[in-house]
Amino acid sequence: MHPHIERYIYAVTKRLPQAQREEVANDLRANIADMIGDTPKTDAEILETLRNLGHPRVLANNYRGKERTVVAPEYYDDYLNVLKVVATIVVVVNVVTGIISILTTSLPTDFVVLLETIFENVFGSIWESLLMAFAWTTIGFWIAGAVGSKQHRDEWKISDLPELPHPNSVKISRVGVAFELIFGVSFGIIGLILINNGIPYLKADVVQPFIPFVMIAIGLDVVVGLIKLAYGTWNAPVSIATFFHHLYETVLGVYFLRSDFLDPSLYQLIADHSEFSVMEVQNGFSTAITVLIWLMIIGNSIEVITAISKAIKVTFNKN
Amino acid sequence: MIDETLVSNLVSELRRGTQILAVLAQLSTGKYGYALLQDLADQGAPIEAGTLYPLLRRLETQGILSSTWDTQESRPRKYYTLSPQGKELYTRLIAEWTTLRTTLDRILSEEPYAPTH
Repeated sequence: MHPHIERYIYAVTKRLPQAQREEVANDLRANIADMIGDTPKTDAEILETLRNLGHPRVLANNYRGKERTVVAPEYYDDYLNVLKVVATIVVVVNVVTGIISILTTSLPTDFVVLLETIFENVFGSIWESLLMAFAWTTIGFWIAGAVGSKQHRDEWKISDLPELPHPNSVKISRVGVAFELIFGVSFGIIGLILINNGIPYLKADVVQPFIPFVMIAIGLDVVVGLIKLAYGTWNAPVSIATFFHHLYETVLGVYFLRSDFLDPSLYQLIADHSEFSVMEVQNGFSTAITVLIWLMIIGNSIEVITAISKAIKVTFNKN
Repeated sequence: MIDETLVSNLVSELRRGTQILAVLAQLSTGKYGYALLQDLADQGAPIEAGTLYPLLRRLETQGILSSTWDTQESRPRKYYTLSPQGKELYTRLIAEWTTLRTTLDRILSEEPYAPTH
């Protein structure tokens, strides 16, 4: 038998289960011999005959007879959606932990080395984590497909179907949520670290009791972000979560700003280096704080009103 | 202009369902793979070698065809023929095909673009 033929047959049978290999090889050998005929043939003619049989991979697939996929085709859409959400979470967690690790380590003074450190910390582990997340999601779906029987997969109830999206529904941008999370959580944690280490001219005994409340705020940030990712559009639960999130942040902010957190020595310091009196500096600060409080209340109110109006549009505008 | 790939995809899809019927029809007497390939091509129902050989093997594992190796000739050949179960299947498929053809003929003759006979 011509070596080309044996190599072709091997290329087909090595893709098949052990038990079928010998029989398929015999079948193929006989069939190819018939196709080639009795008269001696050149290498090129033999190659042409083998080409007629198609790619060994395709032929092996035909012999195997059934499609094999890691993720069952009927799960594929869900698989892609889960991958997107998981990838978003992985990127957010990595960037946040990267930023924190930069801020908690002493930074090199050389600019290029500094950039390198930042890049390494923020992006270094993203690729690896994404691969891990991808692998685990795939394994999860593979198990679901292998374990869930065909019959079980085909059964469904009305309650399994998603609610009809309202025509006016507003999508929540996944990238937007990712940025919100990255900034919210990073700033929260930076704040925590600063408070914990002590900030000059802030009264430690006034500021430090806020630490648990800031932790709760970060937790809320994460929870609300996850709720937004899960629903993907503005609806009642998302709006209610957003409302409480902003309410909590406003109350916490107002409490903080109204607490007597500034060390009086700051007023003295500024007065010493300017032409204002201590009294004037103190008044200036208290005006600034009042303005800040109002800005915060107005800003958060706008956010809450937008959130609620988006949900109302969806809930009550049933046309 | 209609996309030619689309046409050929649909045509081969249409043929695929009937291929098995053509193969079974040829196998009331024993035949080896390559002879069957040529017979089908001669009768205007060509089938790819890479499709036919695996199909024969699958039909055999499903018990529809039975096979014997003929080692008398200069080279060994595997002869396929309909098993009793395969004969029953063939009869059922013929009945199904007849119904299908009648139905489709009727539907297509009512269709405004039907070719005039």
